[in-house]
Amino acid sequence: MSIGCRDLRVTAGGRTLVSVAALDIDDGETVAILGPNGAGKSTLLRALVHLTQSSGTVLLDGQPATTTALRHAVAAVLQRPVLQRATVLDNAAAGLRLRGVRRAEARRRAEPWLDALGVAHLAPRHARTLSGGEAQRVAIARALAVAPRVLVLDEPFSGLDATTRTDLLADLRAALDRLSASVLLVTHDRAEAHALAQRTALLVDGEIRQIGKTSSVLDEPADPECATLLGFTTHLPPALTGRDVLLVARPERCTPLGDTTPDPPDSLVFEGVLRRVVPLGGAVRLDVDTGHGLAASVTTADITAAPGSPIRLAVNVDDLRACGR
Amino acid sequence: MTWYVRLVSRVGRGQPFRARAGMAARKGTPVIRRVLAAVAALALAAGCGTDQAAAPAGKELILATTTSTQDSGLLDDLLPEFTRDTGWRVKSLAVGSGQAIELGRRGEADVLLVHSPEAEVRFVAEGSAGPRRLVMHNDFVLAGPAGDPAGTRNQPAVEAMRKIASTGAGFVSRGDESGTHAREKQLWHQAGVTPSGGWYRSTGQGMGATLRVASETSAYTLTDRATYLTQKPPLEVLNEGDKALLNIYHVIEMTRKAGDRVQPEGAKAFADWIVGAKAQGMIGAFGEGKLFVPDAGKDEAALGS
Amino acid sequence: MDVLGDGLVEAVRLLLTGDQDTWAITGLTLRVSLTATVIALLIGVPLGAVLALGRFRGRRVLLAIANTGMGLPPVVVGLFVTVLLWRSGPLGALGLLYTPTAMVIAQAGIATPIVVALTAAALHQVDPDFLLQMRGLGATRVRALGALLTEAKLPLLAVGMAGFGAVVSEVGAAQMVGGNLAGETRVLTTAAVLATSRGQFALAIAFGLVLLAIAFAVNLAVTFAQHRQTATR
Repeated sequence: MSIGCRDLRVTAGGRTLVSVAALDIDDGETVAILGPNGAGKSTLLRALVHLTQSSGTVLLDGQPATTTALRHAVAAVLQRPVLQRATVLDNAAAGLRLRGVRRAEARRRAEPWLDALGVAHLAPRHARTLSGGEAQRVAIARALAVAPRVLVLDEPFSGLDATTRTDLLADLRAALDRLSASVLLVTHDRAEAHALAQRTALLVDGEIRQIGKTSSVLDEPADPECATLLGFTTHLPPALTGRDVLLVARPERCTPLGDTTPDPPDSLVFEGVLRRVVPLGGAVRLDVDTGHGLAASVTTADITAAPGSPIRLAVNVDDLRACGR
Repeated sequence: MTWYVRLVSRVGRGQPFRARAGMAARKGTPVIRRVLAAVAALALAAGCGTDQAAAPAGKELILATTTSTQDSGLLDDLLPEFTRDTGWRVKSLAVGSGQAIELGRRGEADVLLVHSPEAEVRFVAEGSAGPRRLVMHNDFVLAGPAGDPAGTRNQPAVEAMRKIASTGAGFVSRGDESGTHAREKQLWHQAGVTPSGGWYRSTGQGMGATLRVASETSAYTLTDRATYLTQKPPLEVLNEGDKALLNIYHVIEMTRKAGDRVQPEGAKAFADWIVGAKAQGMIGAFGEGKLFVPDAGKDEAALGS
Repeated sequence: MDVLGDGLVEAVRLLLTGDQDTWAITGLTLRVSLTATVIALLIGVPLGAVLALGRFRGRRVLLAIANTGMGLPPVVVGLFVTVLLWRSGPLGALGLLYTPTAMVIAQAGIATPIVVALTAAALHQVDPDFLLQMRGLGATRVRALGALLTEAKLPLLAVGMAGFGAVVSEVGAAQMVGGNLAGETRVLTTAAVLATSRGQFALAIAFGLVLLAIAFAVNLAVTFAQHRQTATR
């Protein structure tokens, strides 16, 4: 089932939190909403499935949807797993129970999903005894067990450590493939969008700045804020480069040059003053004042230059992105 | 759960809440209405199922009386007989004399059985009360050591109190603001004595404890006759019978002037019955004939010595 | 100490010999107080839920009022109900004063603020996103609320216990609106007070012990229910 919206707005205290002219998620498609903290990602998700007050229209299969219709179609996974005071199995069955399914039947249908998310062995345990990662797996199994035609995930991995997250991402991807649902994933992590979503929308200040195929969106920021969001944090304005547009690059792609090193070919080379060296564990980040803003370079090379001394950075033209006019 | 069953049958007879509860249930859609209906039904349910069914509806009067008539158990004897004889059921409220009179004044009671003659006379003079008739009396006695060191025998009660104070013979007071304590203070007041000093002790406890303290310290004390008789302390009754020691009970019928819902006919039925020969006989015989003296028809002024 | 011993013996004797008055008084006590508690729960739990979950102006003020109401002296409630039900009062036509119904009304009045305040407190303990998550799983408003109450059922049981404990043990309102009429509105507390003022201390203590036994039995039942719950964790 496809879900979408037109002119969706959420306001609070006279301030517009979210304003989305149109967003459509096709049947079976996963769309990621990527944005910085406070961009209104969660609010957009909640508004889209009528979990918060909003104006505008929500569409299910192209038709304006009522709250009741949305309740039938949607299952949500929140950032923090809110489980009931019950066993893991009963928690996994809770979504079905809330939809009027009898207890035995609900348990029977929920069990395979616990298995799919790798927590079947916890079924008789009480939910209070679970770790954060286990609890989130149960919460996801609970949402999947209702066989939703629309699944919304609100930063489901944000509270988890890196290993747990990677494993869960893989399990979730496999589980989603078993289910033909349209999925909305809210996240601030590019890797999650990359792993799960066919398309990605960038949300900044409550508005969708960019939407498209995940791989292209992640690699082609449309404006400076999107660029920063996508990791292109080194901004090279026309005044520095002499080009007519803002160029952006990832710090990992900015290479510091030795004093005697000639300019590499097919590269943009610029100068600045080294402001500080930030150790990142193995690599270091060099913050360089170009006289037209700050540029950064992440490198594993040995840096002999001291803060305050001039430094040259080079970026291969393939790693430069043009941003805006 | 039988009372729920009874509820259904009683509700069927048209209790006041029935219409509301029914309506609420029928309109029914908002949850709040159902809750209200359930609440009303429950309240009624708990209210029904007592043995009220025996009495014909409406023949029920409210008697405001003092705690002494209830605490002694006299009413438990009298009221069932009254109901049998007249068909009137009685709700008796045992309260203080002042509160009983106030309930009468507001029309919240149909008939009063009280023992505050001065307040009663003033109350009757207000005009909302009907006839006031003498019913009975009981009394307080001054008990003390057999030797009677203060020489209280055969004295007027007030004089006896004065003698106890002047000889410092020892007196134990309840000091608990009870009716007995109030009477004791009244006697001191009439005797012109402000009791204080080593001879005067206050227990702050009930009559029984006070009697024990008095007998252990060979002191005087004022006690109601009923408690004296049940406790049988090693103290003698030294002074009794003075009018100042009597509790004189009158029955006062209320009229519609006090309130629209007053039932003068019930009041008259009760007042007539309690001054009648049968009730007077029961009063005289109550508690082996030692607690109350039936006085109906007597001259109040002639009571006491 | 004689009195306590005699009281215990008397209590056992009254109950074992099936003393009709004692059983009638005990029955009425249970009936009135349990009904009042159920009514207080029917009114107080939704109100408490609204106060705990609602987002509206004056919510804090209402919560403060409910919390204050917890300490409302029963006598004050009794007086209020009495004046309402007086023949000359606004509800005088119903003729409810000095009936068990009046006692139920008064006791429900005493228990309701307790239930409201404690329900609000109980629901505050539940995750603030609980309702949102239940709705997010497809629950209707009513089902989500039901799930919330189920989630808080242990504290809510305690709420019921607190309400029942408050009303079954109070004497002021029962005396005032019931009138302590023999065979009609005499409950264990008022019977105990009467027995005391009659000097029948053993009987008074016997009534007190029966009251204690009731409170204990009810609490025991609820505690067992709670333990069954926690055992299935």
